Amino acid sequence: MFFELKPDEKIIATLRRHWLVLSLVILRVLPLLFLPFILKLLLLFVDLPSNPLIDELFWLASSIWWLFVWTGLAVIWINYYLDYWIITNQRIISTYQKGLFRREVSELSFTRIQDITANVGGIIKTFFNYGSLEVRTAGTFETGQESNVFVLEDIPRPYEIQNTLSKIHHDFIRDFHHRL
Amino acid sequence: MFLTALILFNFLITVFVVFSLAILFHFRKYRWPGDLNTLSAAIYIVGAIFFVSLAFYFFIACPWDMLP
Repeated sequence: MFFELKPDEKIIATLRRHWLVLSLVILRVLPLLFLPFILKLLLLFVDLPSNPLIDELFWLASSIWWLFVWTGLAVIWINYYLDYWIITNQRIISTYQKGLFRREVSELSFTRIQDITANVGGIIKTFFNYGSLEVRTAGTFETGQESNVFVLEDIPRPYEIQNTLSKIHHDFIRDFHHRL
Repeated sequence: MFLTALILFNFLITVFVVFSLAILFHFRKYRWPGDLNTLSAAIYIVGAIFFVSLAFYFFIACPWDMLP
């Protein structure tokens, strides 16, 4: 793993975006795979003289096109699959994959959490039960700095996760004060 | 003309290979025990080999001697 768990730390949940988010992106890109076939069909309606060279060059260009669409699909999958949030009994670890060459890993200790807000907006999100969970840290409201908000975007079952997180946070703070 | 096409084809394949290596690097570097990264990498490699083979086939099948 790219991070190490502390002593007495255990993973409670690993969250990714809802599968529908990935499906909607793939649905937008997938037609590009069929673009050469659509073009070929359209060309059938145009009365062009048959030329084997043009035909072969068309399929050569199509095969190179498919190579790059395939790569694009893999990048979409990586951006989806490598974006995740790990909730442990001590902190939240967030990893963001932005394209192929940018990755952000950040963590938030439960000692800093002040407010947890679940946000489900829109018909699709309500129907499929996914949305965002905003975890605000101490000082956010006074300064209005949005950088202090930890956002778990488009996660499934946000209300359930909010309750779980709230409970873990409560237990952590109670144990933390007992140790002091 | 064939030489130009060959250079262009090789350039595009090289770009594809570089991106593929970056993708495979991510699958390997950030894998977890029991996650889907190994399976994803396998599916990607199979697809990539298929599409590269297809591209090579169409490149060879092209009647380059018909070019003016």
